[in-house]
Amino acid sequence: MGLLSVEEISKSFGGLRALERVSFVVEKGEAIGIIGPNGAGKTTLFNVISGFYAPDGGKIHFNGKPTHGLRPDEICKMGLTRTFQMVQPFPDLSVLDNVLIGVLVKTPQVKKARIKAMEVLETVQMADRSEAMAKKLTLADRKRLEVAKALATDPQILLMDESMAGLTPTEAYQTIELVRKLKEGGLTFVLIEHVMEIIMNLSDRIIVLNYGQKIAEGTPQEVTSNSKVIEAYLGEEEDAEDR
Amino acid sequence: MAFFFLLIPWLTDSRYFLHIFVMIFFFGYLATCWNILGGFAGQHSFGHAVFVGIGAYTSSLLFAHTGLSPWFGMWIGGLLAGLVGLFFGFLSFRYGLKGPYFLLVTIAFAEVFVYIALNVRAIGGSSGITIPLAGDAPFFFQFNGKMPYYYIILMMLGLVVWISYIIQRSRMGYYLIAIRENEDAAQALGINLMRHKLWATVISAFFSALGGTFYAQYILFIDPPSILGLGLSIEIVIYAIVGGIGTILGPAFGAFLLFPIAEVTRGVFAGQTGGIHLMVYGLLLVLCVIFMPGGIMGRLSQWKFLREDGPSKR
Amino acid sequence: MDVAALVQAIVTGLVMGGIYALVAAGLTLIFGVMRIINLVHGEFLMVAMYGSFFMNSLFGLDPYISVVVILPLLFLIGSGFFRFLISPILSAPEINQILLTIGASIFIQNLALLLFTADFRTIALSYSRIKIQLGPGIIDLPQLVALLSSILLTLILYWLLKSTDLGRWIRAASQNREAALLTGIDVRRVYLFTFGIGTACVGVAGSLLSGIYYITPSIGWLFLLTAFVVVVLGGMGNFVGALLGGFIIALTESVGSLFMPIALVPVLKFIIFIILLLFRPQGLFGLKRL
Repeated sequence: MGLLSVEEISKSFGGLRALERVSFVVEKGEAIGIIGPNGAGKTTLFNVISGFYAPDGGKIHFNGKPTHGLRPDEICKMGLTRTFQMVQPFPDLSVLDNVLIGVLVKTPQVKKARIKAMEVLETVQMADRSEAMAKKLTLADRKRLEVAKALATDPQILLMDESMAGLTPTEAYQTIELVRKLKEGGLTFVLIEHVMEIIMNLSDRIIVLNYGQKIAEGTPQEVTSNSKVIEAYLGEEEDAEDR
Repeated sequence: MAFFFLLIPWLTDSRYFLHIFVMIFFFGYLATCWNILGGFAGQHSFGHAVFVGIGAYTSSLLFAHTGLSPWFGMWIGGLLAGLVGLFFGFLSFRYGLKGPYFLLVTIAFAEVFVYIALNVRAIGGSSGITIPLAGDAPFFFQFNGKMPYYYIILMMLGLVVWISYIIQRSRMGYYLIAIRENEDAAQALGINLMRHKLWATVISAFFSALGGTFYAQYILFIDPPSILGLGLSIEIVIYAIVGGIGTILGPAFGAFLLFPIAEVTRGVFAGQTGGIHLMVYGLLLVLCVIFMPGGIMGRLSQWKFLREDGPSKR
Repeated sequence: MDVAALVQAIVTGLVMGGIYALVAAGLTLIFGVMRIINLVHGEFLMVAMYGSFFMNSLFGLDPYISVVVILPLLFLIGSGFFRFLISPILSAPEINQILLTIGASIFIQNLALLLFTADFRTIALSYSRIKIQLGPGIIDLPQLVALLSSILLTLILYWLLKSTDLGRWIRAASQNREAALLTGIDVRRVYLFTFGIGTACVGVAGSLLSGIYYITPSIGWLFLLTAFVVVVLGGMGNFVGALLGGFIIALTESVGSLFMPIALVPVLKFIIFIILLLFRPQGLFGLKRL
């Protein structure tokens, strides 16, 4: 069954089918990439897996236990944490406090949690900015803070939603190295990214979504040579040209 | 500074002076209680007088009808208020009421209580309840002089300030602030929104009710407008906001600052029905919102030595 | 059951509904466009009523005529209020704006108390006593005028939003502020106008109602709470909804007073309000967005 098992997940909003019978399995220690044109349903998928939406159909199992229909905080406690595409810091708190809040879920004692929070900040190389106000950070730092907060919850699996969008190549490189390091440490990843090189580099396997459906799954090489995938992306380009 | 307050009753003979302090501590107490829900958790309630009133009515009715000492009735009142808070909070949070909508529903909720209290003869109706005089009866929470009341309310204030302090430094404090700052992010980090909001509501309600009993035993008369009304609710909020919403000492400080102003204006413009001091309150609220949203304590906390331990705040 | 009493109750309810809708129109406009819960709205109503009163007592102006003065005056007051007090804190959390309007409301109400005392003022009009017969029901002429005016006002506002440029800008700004900004709409100016128009509406209400009610500093609050229930019931931003909402609330009150003690009737609308906020905050006709 794997660490995370997504089985025939469907989700509609009014008349719009955002997800249609999407299934895949994530094994421990893997990094799975999720790609697809805009509007394919990637973030909706994350929202369903992490509990912000309840699926209309299908099941999700994490570590063998069902999580479909659970609340986000329950799922987080079980070991699955997500980041947000539109970063969601606690704006009026310091960087350290932001991370500390994440640590508290597994370490309720504030004093211990603070120490752990500093460790997390060291891992993401933000320890020097621990006292800065979250709302005053640059975008790159905010994205890194987003990752730090998620890491703070000591997850088994981390869902990262476009954590590299908007970053310069140097900044992205740092994040890639971070993901690699964490993966070596045993953390499982599911990544949504638009930048192809990053996804190709990091992922063991890739899942392609289009119009809410899974249209391909495989290694990076397999996926990039898949005609359906090419069509999906080219189709998007054509539409863009027509306009 | 706390030491100074302990000495005041020995330094003055004026009953009036002591009365002012008692009222300051009383409002500071209520504002501090409100702050747990409104400041820490960010759920701005404009109906908090309901909890105060429940406390006052419960202990007073029990005393008047069964002779139960308000010292005991107080806890029953607190419990009742806590339950009401639980019920109301659960409904509101379950159905996702936030910000302005939550505010409106607290007003509506409180008004319902006021109307019911005004119309149920059995609990006094519009004539209110006069607490039976027992003279100097410490066992029944009545004293002849002002001094005992002074110390009691001072202790109560100290208690809730201390509780605020403990909460703020604890995991609950961080969680409440996280909920206030960003509910989605809080949930994603494992925070159970409902549970923590409810805890804040119940704690705030419980202690507010205790304050209600104090008021009843001090003033010896309660009626719906004075202890359940929107006026009291708004007054509490104004003290908390002008003093410093979300800080520990802010709400009490707000009472310290504003209540004497009310007294002074009441004295200077004797004969005007309650008008001027409210004008001042209104004006201060407006100015505060525009120039100092964090209240006075919020602004002062930019000076490091006044910074409070625990999560950094606005 | 006394049919005549019921019919009278219905007639009274319709008329009161029109009055509520009159007060609620401006409120729903402001909230619908700017998502500001404008608690100072009630005080503007009070100001308008006192305005009419003084025009009447000082210059002998009939309130229906003084509307001509009151309307622009309240528009200016509303715009000024927005420009100097709300605009600076527009980007602050919503709660701050509400607090500001509460503070302003307290200030204005007590200022009025200071200036005018709590004495009731009334305007005695030669035709206030004229009663109109609607079937078996009887209503006062001023009330009927108020009802018709509120329908008229609703239609005017509706037309304004649908068919004028300003209306289009208002709708754009209310639906999506960023997009409106991008298309060159001066959103702040739009908000200014909206606030002004909303306040002018309540100015009209004040003039029309000054002949019907006792005027005191606290009359604003009395209407405000009901107006809010009406606004939420009808759907924030929806004028026709406000009109219908006004009817529903007023009918609930007038018919309700046949079955329960008068003093408890107001509780009905608060309970409706609570239920609405919990289960259907978009009201009967509003959109799902909150």
